Amino acid sequence: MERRQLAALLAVELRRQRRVTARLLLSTAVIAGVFWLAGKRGPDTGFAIALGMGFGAALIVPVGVTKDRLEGTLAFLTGLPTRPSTIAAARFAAVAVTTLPWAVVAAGGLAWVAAAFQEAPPPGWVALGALPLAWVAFTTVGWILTGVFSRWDLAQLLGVPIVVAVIALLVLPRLAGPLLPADPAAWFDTFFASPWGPLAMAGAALLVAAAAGAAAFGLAVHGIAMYRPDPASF
Amino acid sequence: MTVGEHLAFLTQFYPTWDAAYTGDLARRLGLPLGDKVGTLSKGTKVKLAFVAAEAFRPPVLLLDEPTSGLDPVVRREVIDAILERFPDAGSRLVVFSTHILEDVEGLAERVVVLADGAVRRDATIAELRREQPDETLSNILYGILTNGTPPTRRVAGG
Repeated sequence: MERRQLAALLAVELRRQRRVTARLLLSTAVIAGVFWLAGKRGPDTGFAIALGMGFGAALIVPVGVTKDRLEGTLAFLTGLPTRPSTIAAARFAAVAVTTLPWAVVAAGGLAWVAAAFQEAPPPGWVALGALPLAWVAFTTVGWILTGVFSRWDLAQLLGVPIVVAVIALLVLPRLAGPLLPADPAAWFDTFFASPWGPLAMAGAALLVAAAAGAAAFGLAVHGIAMYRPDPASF
Repeated sequence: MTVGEHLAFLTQFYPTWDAAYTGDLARRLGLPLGDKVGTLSKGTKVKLAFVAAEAFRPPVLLLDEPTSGLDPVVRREVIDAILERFPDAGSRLVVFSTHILEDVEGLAERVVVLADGAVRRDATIAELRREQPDETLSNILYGILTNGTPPTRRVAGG
C-alpha cells in the first residue's frame, strides 16, 4: 500500500470531518455542562456522557460516507491513480483518529468512577486499561458502519441487509442464552479472581474486533471499487 | 481546500508530477492558488482541471468538452494553453471531445465525427479542407453531421 497516498488521503478525510468533530467536542462539553448545572456531578454521569458521545464520534466518518454522492468526494478520489484499498484504509484510519479523544475522555471517566471505590485498582491503572478497550469499541463500531455504508447506499440498506441485521439481533441472543452462566455475578467473581480472566476477555474482545474490522474493510473496499458516480453529477 | 492545497494533494499520486511546470502553468492561466476550490467559477475550475491533468505530462491527455459553458475569454485562454503545451508534431497527444465546431478548427489535426453512436467520418483537417476548399471547416463538419444538409445561411440584404 502506498504510504504517501494513504497519508494524503487520511489528511483529506480528517480535514473533511474537522468541523463535525469540533461540533461534537463542543456538544460533549455543553452536555456535560448541562448535567453539571442540573446537579448530576458524579463520576458515573461523566463516564456515561463520554461513552455515549464516543459512540457518536464513531459515526463521524460513516456519516461522511453517506454524503459521498452529494459532495462528490468519492467520485474525485476514485478518479485518482490509487487502489480502493488505500482509500478504504485512509477512512478506517480516520475513524481510529476521530474516536481517540473520546476514548481518552471515557478512560478518564472510568478512572474517576474507580477512584470512588476503595477496592478498585488505582485510577491510573484503570485509565490505562480502559483507554485501549474504549478506543477499540468506538473504532470497531465506526469501522463496521463505514464498511456497511460504503458497500450499500442508505436506500439499499432498507432492504436485505437491514432484515439480516434485525434477524441476527433477534436470533443471536437466544442462541447464546444457554451458554450464559445461571448466576452471572458469581461467575464474574470467579472469572476476575484470576488474572487470566480479564486477559482472556480482552483477547476475545480484540479477536471479535479484528474479525469485524477485517470484514468491514472488505465491504468498504468492495463498495469503493464498485462505486460509480451519478452521470447527472458531471 | 484551496487551489494550492489541491495541487499539493495531487502530487502524492503522480510520480512524474512536475512542481515547477505546474507552478508555471498555474501562473500562466491565472489560477488563484489561495482561493477555495468550491468557490471557483466554472471557467477557473476547468483551468484547474487542465493544470492538474497536464502537471505530470501524460503522453496522452483526454479532455471531455474542455470548453463547454465557458465565456469567450476563458475559452480562448484554455485553447491557447492546450496549443502551447501540445505543439504540432509533438511527441504527446491530446484527444478531446466537443460539440463546439469552432474548437475543432482551432485545436484539431484530425477529426473523428460521431453521430447516432457511429463514426461518420475519420479524416485529417487538411483532407477535409482539400475536399471542400470553399467551405469553412464548421460548415464541412456540420454537413457531415447532418448527412450533407447545408447549414441555413442568412443572406445579407435579403
